[in-house]
Amino acid sequence: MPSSLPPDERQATAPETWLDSYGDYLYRYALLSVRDETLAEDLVQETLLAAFKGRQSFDGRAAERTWLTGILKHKILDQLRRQYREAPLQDDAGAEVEEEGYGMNDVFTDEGRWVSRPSAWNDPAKATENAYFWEALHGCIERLAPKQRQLFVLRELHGNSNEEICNEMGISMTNAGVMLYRARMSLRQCLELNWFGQRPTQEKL
Amino acid sequence: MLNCRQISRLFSRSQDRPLTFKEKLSLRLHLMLCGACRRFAGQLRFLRQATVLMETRAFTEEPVKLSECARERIKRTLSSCGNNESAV
Ligand SMILES: [Zn+2]
Repeated sequence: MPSSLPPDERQATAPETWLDSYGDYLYRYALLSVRDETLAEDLVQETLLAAFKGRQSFDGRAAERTWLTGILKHKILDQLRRQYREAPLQDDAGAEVEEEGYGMNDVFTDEGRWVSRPSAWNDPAKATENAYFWEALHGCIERLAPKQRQLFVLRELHGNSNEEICNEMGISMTNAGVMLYRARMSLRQCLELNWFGQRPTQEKL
Repeated sequence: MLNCRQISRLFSRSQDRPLTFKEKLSLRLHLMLCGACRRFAGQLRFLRQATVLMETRAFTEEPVKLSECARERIKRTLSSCGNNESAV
């Protein structure tokens, strides 16, 4: 493993090794955000090129993969920003909705009570040990509306702050908050239906 | 007193920015009294943890790979870039 080598040797690794060691990882990472294979491939290439050009700045303190992922995150953000500039927030027309509606009429009653109580999720920690759970979660994220998905991925997977996201995408904090709220509401509902709901052990008497 | 819908929004907001003292207080008070929202809060917390795990874990198990074609193309681009640099 390159990470066990002393820093100076780590710096000396050739970009070709990066492609072999981290190419697939970076590709999957990119795919989750952009969902376009060609675009994801291009992003990997751009990332490795940028890494190659900036390899002097790699001080060997972070693991190589972390360093490369950091570059990729910037590239993805750049890419999404370009995309937003070309098609600015088309399907966001309804994002600025009034306080009360919020597009959650099927979830809450007019008085703001739960239509159906959130169920007890049985041993969620154990779910994460199940490969199918990851498929279910992945599927739920994929099914989000495109803008919601991008925001959610940027926020939760890439760990960007809301400020960063709003600055990059030119959307208001209110908008981002609404879209993230909707994304989280859909995801919990989706997981409830597609994962936790069908567990026969759930709420056993 | 805030209702469950308002609490669900407040809790989501708490995952994006720090709440004010007053917001924190009404959230805590509601959660103390409302089992449904406690479950909801637990679900969102779990969702966040799972998503972080997904970043580090799911990637190592998924079978998705760069195509041979793309791999070759990237390799070529990188090595031509490397040659240019060493020639300078
Ligand atoms: Zn409640």
